[in-house]
Amino acid sequence: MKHFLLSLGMFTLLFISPSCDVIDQPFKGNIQDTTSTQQQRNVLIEDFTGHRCKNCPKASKAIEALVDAYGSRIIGLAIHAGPGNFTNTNADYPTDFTTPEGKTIQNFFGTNFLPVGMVNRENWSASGNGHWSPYTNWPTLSSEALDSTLRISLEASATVVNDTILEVTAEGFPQTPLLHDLSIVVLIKESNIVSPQLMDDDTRDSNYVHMNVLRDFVTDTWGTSFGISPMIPGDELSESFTATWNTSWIKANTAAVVYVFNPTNYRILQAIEVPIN
Amino acid sequence: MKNLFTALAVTVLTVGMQAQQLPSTTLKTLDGKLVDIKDQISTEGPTVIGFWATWCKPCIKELTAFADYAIDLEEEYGAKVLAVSIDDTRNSSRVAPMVQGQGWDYTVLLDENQDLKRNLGIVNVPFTIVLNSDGEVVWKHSGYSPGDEENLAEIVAKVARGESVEH
Amino acid sequence: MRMKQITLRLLLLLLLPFTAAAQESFGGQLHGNFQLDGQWYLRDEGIDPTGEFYPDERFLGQGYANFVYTDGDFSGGLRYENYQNVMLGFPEGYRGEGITYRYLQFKQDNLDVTVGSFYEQFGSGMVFRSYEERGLGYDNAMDGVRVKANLAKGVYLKGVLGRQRFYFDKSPGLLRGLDAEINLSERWHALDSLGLRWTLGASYMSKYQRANDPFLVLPENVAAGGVRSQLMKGPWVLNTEFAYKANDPSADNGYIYKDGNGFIANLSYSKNGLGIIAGVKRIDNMSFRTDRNGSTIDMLVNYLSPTTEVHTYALPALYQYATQINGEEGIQLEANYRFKRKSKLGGKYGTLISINYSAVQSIDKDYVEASNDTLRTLQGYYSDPLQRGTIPYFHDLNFKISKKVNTSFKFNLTYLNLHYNRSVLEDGLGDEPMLSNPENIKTMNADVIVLETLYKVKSKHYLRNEFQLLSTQDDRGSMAMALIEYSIAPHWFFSVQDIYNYGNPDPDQKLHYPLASVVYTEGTSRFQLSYGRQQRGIFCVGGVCRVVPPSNGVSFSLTTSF
Repeated sequence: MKHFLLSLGMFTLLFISPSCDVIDQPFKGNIQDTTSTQQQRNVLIEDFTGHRCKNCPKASKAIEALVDAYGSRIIGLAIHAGPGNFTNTNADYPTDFTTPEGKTIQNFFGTNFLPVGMVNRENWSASGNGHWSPYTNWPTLSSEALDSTLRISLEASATVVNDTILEVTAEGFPQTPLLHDLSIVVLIKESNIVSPQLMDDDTRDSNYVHMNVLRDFVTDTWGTSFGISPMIPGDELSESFTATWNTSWIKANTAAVVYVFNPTNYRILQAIEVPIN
Repeated sequence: MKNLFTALAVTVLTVGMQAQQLPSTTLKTLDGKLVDIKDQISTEGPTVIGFWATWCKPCIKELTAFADYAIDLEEEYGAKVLAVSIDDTRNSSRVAPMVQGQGWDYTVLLDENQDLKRNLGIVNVPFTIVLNSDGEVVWKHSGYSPGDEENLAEIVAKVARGESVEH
Repeated sequence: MRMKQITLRLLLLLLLPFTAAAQESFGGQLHGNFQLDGQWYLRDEGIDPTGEFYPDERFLGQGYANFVYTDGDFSGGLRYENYQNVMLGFPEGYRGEGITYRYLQFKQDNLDVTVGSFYEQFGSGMVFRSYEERGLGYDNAMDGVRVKANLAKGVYLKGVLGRQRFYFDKSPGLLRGLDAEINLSERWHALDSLGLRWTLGASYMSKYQRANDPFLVLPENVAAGGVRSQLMKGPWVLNTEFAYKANDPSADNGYIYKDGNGFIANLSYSKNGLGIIAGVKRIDNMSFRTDRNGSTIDMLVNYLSPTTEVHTYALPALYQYATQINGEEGIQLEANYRFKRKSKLGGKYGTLISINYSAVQSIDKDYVEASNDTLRTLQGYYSDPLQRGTIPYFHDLNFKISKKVNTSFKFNLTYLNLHYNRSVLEDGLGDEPMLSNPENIKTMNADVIVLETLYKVKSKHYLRNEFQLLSTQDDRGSMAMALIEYSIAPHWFFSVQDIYNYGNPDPDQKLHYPLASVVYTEGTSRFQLSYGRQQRGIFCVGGVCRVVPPSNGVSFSLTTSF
C-alpha cells in the first residue's frame, strides 16, 4: 500500500502540470510607440492570397491591424498565387492579379493552400515547413522580428521618368559585420485597387479594396547580388535599377519595396518601402 | 547512412533465418480479460493467427471464407484459429457485434494498443501467420485475394503433417 | 543532427553483434517492414486543362522502413522515411529524408517504460491520441518518455511527456499527461459474480506553448481532461466518455476564448447472430493542437472519430465524412443479423443483412457579435447542449445483403442514400455564414447501388465483379463504375475498372476514369503495378481543406515485411 501511494505520488508530480491558464481579459493594453529616428528592423509579410479565396480577406485584415499598431515598420505584400480555383479569372472575377515571379516564389517555398504567409522568410530549410505561417501567427512573428537587431539599414528612391521608365537607386549600410553574401530585390506594389473578392460568408464583394498587391518585379525573382562577404559597418553598398512602367498603375497608390536577404537561407535582413515619384 | 543499411540488411538476412517465436504480448478477450498470446496458441497442432479490423473489408472476407475450412482443420489436426483485431479502444466495442453478425466461431482477441502488430513488424491488414505445434512461425502472408483461404487450408494441413512449406 | 547520429550509432552497436551470431539463438528477434511507392505522372488535359496539378518532377516517389528488435523484456526500433518528392495527395510537409522514429522500451513486472518515439491513446482519444495512418500521411508521434504501470490489481496508470512530430521537425508546444484506468471487476469480485465488467477511467493532458502576441494575452498552458466508463454484462456493452478543454484560442477556432467539451456514448448488444450498436456524440470547440497556429492534420493532440461508416466501395468513398472539430453532433445506429444456415430466409449457407444509419449536424451556436462583446472576453459563441443544431452536415442510410448461393457463387448487394453538405466538407465554410445565408448552402444528395459478385471458376481461380451506380443531380452528377478482378491464389491478381461520370453537367467533364492493376504476392511481399486516371478529391479539417489533385500515370508499390 505504501509502495502504491509512493508511486502514485511520484507519478502525479512528474506528469501533472499545476497550471492551466484561464484568461479573463484577452486584450492587452496599447502598443508602445517604438519608432525612433534611427532605422530599425522592419517586417516584410508576404501574404499568399487569391481573389476567389474566401478565407483570404481575414489575412489582409491582420496586416492592416499590424500596420495600425506599428506603422511603416510593417510592409505588407499580397502575392496572388496558388491553386487555380482561388486565383483564376472568370466572368465574376475578371482581373488577373497573378505574376510569373509570384508563382515562382509560391512554387519554390511550397505553399499549396491559401491563405498562408511568410514573415521575413525566417526559418526556411530544405526539409520542413517552418517558414510558413497562418495569419493568426503574424502578430507574434512580427513582434519578435521588430525587437531583433538591425543588421543593415537601407535607403532608396524611386522615380518614373517620362511616364515610361522607373528608375530606382538603393543604398545599404551594414550595422554589424555580415559574414555571408547579400542579394537585393526591388519590386512594385499597388494599393487601393477596387476589384471583386470572395468574402468569408461566401458572398462576392465587387467593391473590395485590394491593398499591397504585387504588380511587378524590377529585379529578377531572386534579385541581384548586392554585397559579397565579408561586409563591415562603414561599408556602403549601392545599386541602381530600371524597369518599364505600366501606365495603368496609379502612381500615388504605388510604392517600391526594396529588401535584402541572405541567398543561402533566404532570410530577409531588412526591407523598406518608398513612394514612387 | 549507407553503412547503417548494409549492417541492418545483413542483420536481417542472418537473424531472419532463425525460427521465429511469438514475442510475449498482452491481449484482451471479448470479455475484457487480459491474456498473453503465447498462452492462446495450440500445442497439439498448428495455429493460424489472422490480423483484422472492423473497418477492413478484405479481412472480414478472408475470415468469413476461411470459416468452413477452419472447422475441418480444428477437428482433424487440433488446429486453432485466432482472429486478432487491431481495432483501437474507440472501435473495439464494435468487434463483438460484428463477430456475432458474421457468425464466426473463432477465438477473437483484441490488440487495442497494436503491440502485437508492431512487435511482428506488421503494417497492413489482412495479415496471416501460421505457427507449428512448437509455436514457431512457419508461414506468413500479407493481403487477401479470393482463393487465398483454400491455399491457407492446404498450408495448415501440410504444417500439421510436419511437411515444410515455402511462401 | 548530432543527436540523430548518436542514436543511430547506439542502435547499430546494439544490433551488430547479432549479425555474426546467425546460428545461435540469442532469444532476440528483428522484425520490420519496408514500403516503396512511386508514380510516373502523365500530362492529361482532360482532368487538368491548365497543368497546374502536373508535377515538375514527373516522377514522385517515397518510401519508409521500420525495424523492431525484441529480446525478452527489451525492445527497440527505428523508422527511416524518405520523400523524393512527396506524392500528390499527401501532405506537402513531407520534404526530405531522415530517421523519424526511434525508441527503446523496457517492460518488467508491472512497469513499462519507453524513451524516444511512441504512440499512445487515452480512452477513445478525445483528450489524447498519438497515432499514425501511413496511407493518409498522418503521424503525430510523441517524442519523449512514457511510463505505464499496473499499480495494484486492476489499476493501470499511464504517464506521457514530450513533443509531437511535425514532419521532420518537432512541435513548438510540449505535452504532459496522465491517464488512470480502474477495472472495478478485477478489484471487487462482487461485481464479477454478478456478471458485470466495469472499467472507469480518467485522463488529463496539458500543453505548453510560448506566447508573444502583441494584441492578445494568450494562455500558454492549456489543459484538457476526461472521464470514461465501460460497463459490460452478457451481450450488453455501454461506453460513455466526457471531455473538457479549457480556453484554447487557435487558428482553428478563430482565436476565441471559449472552452470546449465533448461527449460520446455507445450501447451495443451482440448475441445469437444479432449485433446492434447505437451511438451518440457531441463535440463543441475540441480542436487541440501543440501549435495553436497548426492547420489541417498537423500536430493534433486529440482524435475525434467520424462515427460514420467508412466506405471502401469506390463511388460512396468519394463522399466521405470528415469530423468537424470545431463543433458537431450526431448519432449512429447499426444492426447486423445473420440468418442461420438451413433456415427459411438463410438458405443453405446463411444470409447476412446489415442496416446502418448515421447523421451529423451542427451544434446550437448563439454568436456573440464583436460589437455586442461589451465584456471583451472573446467568447465567440454560446452553445446550449440541449438545443439541436440546425445545419445538417451529413447523413448516410444503407442496407446490405450478403449471401452465398452455392459453392461457386456469392454476392453482396448494397443500397445507400447519402446527404453530403458540400459547403462544410469541401469549402470549409463555418456555421455563421451558413446560418445567415441558408439558401447558399451547397449540398449533395445521392442514391447509390452496389452489386458485388464472386464466382469460383475452378480451384484457386476466382472472378470478382463490382457494378456501382451513383445517381445524383448535384456536384459532378451521376457516375457508374464497373470492375473486373481475376485472382489466382496465392500469387496473382489482375483487375480492371472504370468510373464513368456520365451525368456531369459540364460536357467536357463527362470523362472515363480507367484503372488497371496487376499484383504479385509472395509470402509477405507484395508488388503492385497500376495504370490509370484518378479524380480529384477534397477533404476539410477544422475549416482548412486539402485537395487531392487529379492525376494520370503509372504507379507502383512494393511492400514487404520480415
